[in-house]
Amino acid sequence: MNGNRIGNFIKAKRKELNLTVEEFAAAVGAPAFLVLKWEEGVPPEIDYLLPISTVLKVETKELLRGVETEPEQFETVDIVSTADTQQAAATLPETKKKEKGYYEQLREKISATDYSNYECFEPTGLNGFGDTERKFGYVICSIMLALVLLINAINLISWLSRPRALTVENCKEYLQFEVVAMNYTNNTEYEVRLTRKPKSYDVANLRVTVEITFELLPIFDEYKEEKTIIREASFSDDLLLSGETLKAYITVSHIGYDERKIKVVYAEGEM
Amino acid sequence: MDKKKKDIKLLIFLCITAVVGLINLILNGNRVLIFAYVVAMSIIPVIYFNYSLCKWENRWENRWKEKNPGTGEPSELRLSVAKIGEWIIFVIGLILALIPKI
Repeated sequence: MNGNRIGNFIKAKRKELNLTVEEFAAAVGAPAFLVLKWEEGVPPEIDYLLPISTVLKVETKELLRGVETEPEQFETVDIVSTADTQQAAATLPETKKKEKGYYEQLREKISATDYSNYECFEPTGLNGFGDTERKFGYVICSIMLALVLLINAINLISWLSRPRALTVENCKEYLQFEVVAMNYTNNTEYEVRLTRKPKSYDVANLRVTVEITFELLPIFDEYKEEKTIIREASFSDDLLLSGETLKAYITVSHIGYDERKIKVVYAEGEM
Repeated sequence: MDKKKKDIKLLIFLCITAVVGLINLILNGNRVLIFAYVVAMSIIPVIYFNYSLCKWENRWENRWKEKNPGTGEPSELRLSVAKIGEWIIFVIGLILALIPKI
């Protein structure tokens, strides 16, 4: 079966009958895109062969071959007399006389069929997007792009309007301080940590000094005279990046003191 | 504009959104989410070829289970449920791109 030949045949016959694709599709009971597919060379489905051949007024075999066959020509040879023919016809059984040819029966059946209500195969969907889906896609993508733009614009504005210098006043907004005991059983040694807070800016030429106040725990009140001890820790770095931690170590003279307060006494840096 | 052109236009728009989301994700510094984001965004071609994939899956299942397999034409419900699921994955991907730094 040659798809192209069938396609060309359908197209030629359709044009011969002055039918548009839509008219032909309606007559056959198929969607127009299927007709275009057939004409492009995709062989028609078996369900459509009879409707097509009826509408195009061709035999199904001609449709399948893609060629119109000439009606068979017989030479009339007068070898039997009319009397003989009549006699032969008379001898034929009644049923044989009435019996119609296959194509005759087929044509009658097809012309009796109402194809306007013919339920043909149609795909339930196609690749791609539906109309509602398309609208949803555009809306969701537009919202996303707008949000990304907004968030980045806010970040850019806050970066541009950031304070350029690190001072004692704004120091704790961008830096985090922590005092950790080195030894929990005999805690006279402490580690002081300075960490850049997330979402803050890189600090160049950082110089920071903090004052840590230790207070004596109430249970040791009667043993020690010094109630409060103050220690200083200094940090310096050329460039403090995100997540980077600077460390300093301090020592108190006796156990029994607890870290109470961290105060920044000096801060300098460029952001 | 015919359906195919409209579909291609939306497909391009979806791809642009996915790329913008990926850039935003990297700028946010959520590198741990990149893999999950890429997996979620690989749903875009699946959304487009939903019908073919459903049909292919039905056919395969028919051939596997039935002696006389049918056409594998998916039902409206099958197509709709698949589409909804795919769009949900796409939206989850977009949300991942918008999450501030973890």
